[in-house]
Amino acid sequence: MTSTTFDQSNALPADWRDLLALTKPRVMTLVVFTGLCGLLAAPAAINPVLGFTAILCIALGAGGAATLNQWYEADIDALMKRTRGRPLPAGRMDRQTALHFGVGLSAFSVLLMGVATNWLAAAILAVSILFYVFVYTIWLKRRTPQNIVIGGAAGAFPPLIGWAAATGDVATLPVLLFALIFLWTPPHFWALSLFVRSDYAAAGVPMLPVVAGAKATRLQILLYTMPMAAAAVAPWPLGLAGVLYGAAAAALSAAFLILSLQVFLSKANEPAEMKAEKRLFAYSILYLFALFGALVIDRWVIG
Amino acid sequence: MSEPQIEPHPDPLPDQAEVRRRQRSRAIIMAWLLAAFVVLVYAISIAKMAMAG
Repeated sequence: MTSTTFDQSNALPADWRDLLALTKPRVMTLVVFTGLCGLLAAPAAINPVLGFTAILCIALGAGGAATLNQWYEADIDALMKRTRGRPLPAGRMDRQTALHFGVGLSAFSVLLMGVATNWLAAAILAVSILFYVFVYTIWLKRRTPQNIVIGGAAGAFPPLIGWAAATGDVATLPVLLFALIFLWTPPHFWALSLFVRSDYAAAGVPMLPVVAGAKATRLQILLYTMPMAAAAVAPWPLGLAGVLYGAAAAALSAAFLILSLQVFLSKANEPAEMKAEKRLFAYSILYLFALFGALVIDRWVIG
Repeated sequence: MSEPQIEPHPDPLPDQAEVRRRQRSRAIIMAWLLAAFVVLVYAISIAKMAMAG
């Protein structure tokens, strides 16, 4: 990693909007939502103040991890069109501010989670932050096309954290929700990386489409979709969720499979032509929102 | 004799008014965040005491 990608001497103090941008607020939305659903799907009622604090801690932890990710990746972010406008590669902030902000936010989120809810939830939150920063960002991302397969675990922790915050325990359902997000991450990210392949190639990031080509990536998307669909539906036959969730999971996963099949059959080479890939990427976000929403409705409305 | 060329400083100091503006906006946000944190800790304490009771 290069230490700097721009001149930072005499830099202005960072603007608060840039500090906020470091936390990747849009990515945080999904993390917060899945964490909230894990908390609401838990069989134990949690005090609303403590529940709010738990979700706040998940958001702050995700923001801290995202900040540390951008602190470490400023050099490759500067090489990619999609990311070169971020505060660090654009030179709007010095790296030390980002590092202090990321470490501070991460440590604060874990301590507050431990004090407000329980130390199991705090420990899982700490593991998810450390996993994202050290295993995904520092170790895997620049070394292997399996980076997001293993690194995807970091984003799969929030429902587990929400559940642990409410119950003080870990059970089969949150582990299945973890597995679902873990298996969802590769098709989601590979669909994106197919149409931003040139960006990753320019930055030397060994994403699967760069290393193995578009055809192999399309096959892998389809292959990963199958166990993902199985993990999504599994809570229903196992008696961990009701028929509303089961029907929603089956229908949403069937649509995911059809879109993955369209990607598999696609022969598009240019990003502008990759309609199937863009459709799958957009749908994959909606899929996770809808699935977790269905789980909570199933638990709260149907009982 | 020609006048010496004055080259612009390669790394000029940032505009002090802009520095002050950013420091002020960050200080205001920090004050609000600290106030929110105090309220949150108070609410957490009440919730914990209610649970214990």
